[in-house]
Amino acid sequence: MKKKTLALILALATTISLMGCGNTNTQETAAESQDSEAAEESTEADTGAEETANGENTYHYTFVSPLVSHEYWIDVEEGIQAGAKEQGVDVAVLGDTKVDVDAMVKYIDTAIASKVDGIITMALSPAAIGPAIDRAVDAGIPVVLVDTDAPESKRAAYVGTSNYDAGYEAGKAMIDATGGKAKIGIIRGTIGQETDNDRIKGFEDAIKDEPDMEILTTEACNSDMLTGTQKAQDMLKAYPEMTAIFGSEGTGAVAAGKVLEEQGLSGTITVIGWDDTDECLDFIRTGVVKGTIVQKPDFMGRKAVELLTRINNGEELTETVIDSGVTFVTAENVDTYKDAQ
Amino acid sequence: MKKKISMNGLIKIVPLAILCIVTGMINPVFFAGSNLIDLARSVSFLLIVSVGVTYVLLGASLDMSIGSVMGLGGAICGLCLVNNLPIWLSILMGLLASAVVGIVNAVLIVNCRIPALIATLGTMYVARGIVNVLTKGEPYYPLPDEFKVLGQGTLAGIPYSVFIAVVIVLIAHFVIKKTSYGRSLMAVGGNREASRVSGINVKRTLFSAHVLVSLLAGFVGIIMAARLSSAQPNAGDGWEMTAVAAVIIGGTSMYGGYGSVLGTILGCALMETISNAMVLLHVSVYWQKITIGIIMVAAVGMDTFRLKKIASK
Amino acid sequence: MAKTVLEMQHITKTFPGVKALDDVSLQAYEGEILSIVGENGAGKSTLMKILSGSYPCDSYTGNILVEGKTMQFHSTRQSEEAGIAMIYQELNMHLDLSVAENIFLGNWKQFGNVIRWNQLYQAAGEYLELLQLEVEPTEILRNLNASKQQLVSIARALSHKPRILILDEPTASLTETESATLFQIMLNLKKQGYTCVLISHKLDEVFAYSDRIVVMRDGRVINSHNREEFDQSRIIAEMVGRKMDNLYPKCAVPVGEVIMEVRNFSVPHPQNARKKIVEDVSFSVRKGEILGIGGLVGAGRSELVNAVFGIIGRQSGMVVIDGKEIQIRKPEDAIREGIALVTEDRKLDGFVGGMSIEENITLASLKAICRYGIINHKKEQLSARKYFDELKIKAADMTVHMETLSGGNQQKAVLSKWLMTKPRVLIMDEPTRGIDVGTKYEIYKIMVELARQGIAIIMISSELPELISMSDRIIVLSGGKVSGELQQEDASQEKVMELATRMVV
Repeated sequence: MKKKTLALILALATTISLMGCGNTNTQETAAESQDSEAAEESTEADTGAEETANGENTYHYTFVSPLVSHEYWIDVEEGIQAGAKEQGVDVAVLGDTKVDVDAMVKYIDTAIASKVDGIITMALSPAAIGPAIDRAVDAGIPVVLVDTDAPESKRAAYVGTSNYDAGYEAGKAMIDATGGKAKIGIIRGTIGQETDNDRIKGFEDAIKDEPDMEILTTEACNSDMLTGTQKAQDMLKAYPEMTAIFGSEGTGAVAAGKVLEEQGLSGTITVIGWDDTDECLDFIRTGVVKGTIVQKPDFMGRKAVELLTRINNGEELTETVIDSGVTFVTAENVDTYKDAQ
Repeated sequence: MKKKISMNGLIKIVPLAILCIVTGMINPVFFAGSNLIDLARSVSFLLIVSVGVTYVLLGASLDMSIGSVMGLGGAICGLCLVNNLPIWLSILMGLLASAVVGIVNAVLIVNCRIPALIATLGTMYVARGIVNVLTKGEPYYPLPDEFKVLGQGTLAGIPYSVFIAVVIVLIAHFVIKKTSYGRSLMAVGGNREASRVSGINVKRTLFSAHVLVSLLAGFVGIIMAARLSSAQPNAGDGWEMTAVAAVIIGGTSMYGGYGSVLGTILGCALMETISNAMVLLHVSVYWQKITIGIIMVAAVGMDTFRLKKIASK
Repeated sequence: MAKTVLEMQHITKTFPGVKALDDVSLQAYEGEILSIVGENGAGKSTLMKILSGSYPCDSYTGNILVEGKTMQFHSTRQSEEAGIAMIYQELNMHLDLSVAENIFLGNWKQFGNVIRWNQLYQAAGEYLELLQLEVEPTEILRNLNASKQQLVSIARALSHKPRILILDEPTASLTETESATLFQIMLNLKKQGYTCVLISHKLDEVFAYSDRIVVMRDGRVINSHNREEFDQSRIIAEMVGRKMDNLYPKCAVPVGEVIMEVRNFSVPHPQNARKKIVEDVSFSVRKGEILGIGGLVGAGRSELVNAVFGIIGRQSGMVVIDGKEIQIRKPEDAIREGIALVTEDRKLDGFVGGMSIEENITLASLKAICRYGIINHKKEQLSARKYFDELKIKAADMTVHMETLSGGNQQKAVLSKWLMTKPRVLIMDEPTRGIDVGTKYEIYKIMVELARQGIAIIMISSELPELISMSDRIIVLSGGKVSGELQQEDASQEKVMELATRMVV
């Protein structure tokens, strides 16, 4: 704890003195604060390493997270740490509070430079992350991807359900929930985000053969809850014929739920969402939201650590693509699905 | 001269009026009571922050940290609430935290003479960082029902936040037009050196404007949490841009010393109406940003043109 | 008669509501210095803007002929190409670029797409030599003093190879000696066949160096005088449209007891903390007295009064009012003690351009028109109106923005602002800089009236006739120290100059 505070103070002091010079540009300031976070994280990891590395030989892995402060990735991280405990290895976490592919590449390179025994990450943009993965593998460091794959790269294995497949599952769930008759509004995150694109593509493909299903509109809420509620309100008015809403990331369904509840429309519109935030689960319990697609971040993390350790132990992997599957959480399994995982 | 000013005011309403009429003609739902109320609520949130931004811009300063301060105000308030602190105390704590950021901004800008853009970019990261450390990325939830009233309650069908915004706007307008503080702020923004020589306390004036904008941002963060029944860690992300855009579209100069709170109302109304109208008009989401961008550049272009015209006189 | 280089025929230009130029015709001959004089607003600047192409040819009626050829300027560029070079009142140069870069600003192309620096510096050197300016072409402009910067701007104008040079208030920021150098250069250029058109408010230099004077008033040419028929009082009468028998309406006022005393003032140099720009200066000023402060630019005069007023920090010294030492840390304190300061550069720190005249007048006395921090608009209007009328500020009404006023009227509004604070000591730093003759006269009259009311006035001036005629007593600074003191009856331009250039050890 003391170390952590010290690192923070140091980072702050550097930042302030840099700003005092007056010629710091914003990027540097940004980088500074990123570094301070990284420093904080690694200090944390160091303390962990000291405990486990007590004379004993152990593997050191790095997990490069695309978004350290996000619930979903925190779950992945928890799975990784649980896996690390099982395997008796040590995992350090690097990552940013904003989704930034450049920062991820930078962190992967940092991990390569510090000669870790394995890297876990996700291919935010396969084109950008792929070369970094190859660099790691060329340096003799195995890489396991979670959540999003980069099949063209030299990665050793991939654990996850592709966003397209998960989106397809969401579409099938929507068909089941509406009996194949629905006019749908989609609330997505940011425009142009690949994960969202894939999920929506999968969703569309799942329902395209249903004659009575139709997508009315797609609005973006920028993963901002207030914007989400405003978009939901506007959609309800602009499309009175709308009977279902699909939220392709964590915000949309919850935002729609808030609006429906407020306007006393609970139950009249079938809402299917994404991720199991507490708010979303509560809406499922009260019936405002029909169900939500949950990828298994925890499982992905655990499995990834296991695979890396097997590779390091000289094992040849027979399966390099492991489907983690999705869970569709509804009122029936809302209180039990976590145990089933 | 007086007549000219009111003519200018009228011209500013024209784009908004056209937008409303066209939208209403294509989709009559626009003028439905429920839509107008929703619109009013959206405007009220943006407006409260933008009033603060108007003050800072009038003083020829800048604050990029308001989005993060909104997140911080909401998060601190949410943190207190989930720990069962009384509502009034939680709100106070949220405001206090926001004010602290404002004070830090003011000290950096006014006392340490760090350029406002850089100083507030720094606090923007720090404040958002604090929110992330506190929340670990998860919203504070659930919040007590009595608190939610602040963001969800209505009086005669109109959300409280609208009344709050109206009161804040009236006070802010009065202060700018009728008080020696408002006059000092305008003077400082117009010519900082001349104001200092004329015996105006430039530091105190700018200091208070920076604390005020943070307080207002934090306050919106709090009612936003009440509105959403949860304090979201990314609340307010990017709002600094939206608010600055609204204020500039409302005719306040980036260079300080020129503008009004009333103009800011128009700017906020225009921004929110565009985003509402786009959905009602079934316009693709991709076009929304393009439209806002064009309006923004046009508005700033008009500002520059106005300055040029004065200069050439 | 020499050959006509430039001819303007029947130029009429109207702005909405105003006729700025009304059927103006004039000629300029080869190798002459032609001065155009007139009050601010007489149309001189408008005429020059037409000549320089700032106002395109379709915005006015009438013809411009350069060497007999009719010209139609759509831009300043075209005017430059026709051989007309304009040297502006305000320096519009890049202080952080070198002298050579400034001279060829916008014309770097002639030195290749990738600039051949040696050629650039050499070419710049030729112009510097022509102007007898001893600076290195590589020197950064900021490091030069104002007069040398001014000369560089002339070098820039010459680099366009003009036939006609237009100088708009070229000596506004120069001292007497620097001005004299500049005019020597103009005489030199004249010998080489250049035509110089000079606009200046400083009539003594106009009379000393012009070959011809054209008087303008209210957008019309009133008269043209050749050198042999120069008559100062007649020309001034033509400028203001009335007879003015005395340029300086100073009259003796009973001088009372000492109000303010400044003791042992030292101010650190802004660029060099180890040096002092003002060193151990002491003086006092009495009720009803006008105390002049003379000296060259850079002697520390402005720094002295700015430090007294609390605008810049001082190193040591005290201010005593009515025998009591007072603490002044910021302008607020000085105002409270009854001191007012009309600063040297009114655009920089004298007024807020985007605010109305009324708001500017009340700016330094907000407390007086406020109750509980709320402005009493009626009271504000009444008090501002009083000065607006008394000082005869020329504007449609008090809601007009300051930035649209002429220099003289801006100065009157700044003065009004300070008078509203009911000062006991009024400090005026170059009170008539860049102001036309008529308004100058009015400002002098106001100063005398204020002295009569018992206000102590301290006036810094670089215009020697003004300094000598208006002051009861003059102290002269040289190198930051007081080099001497003169009573009005002993003062002469020579004595002031002698003191101003004397080194004080």
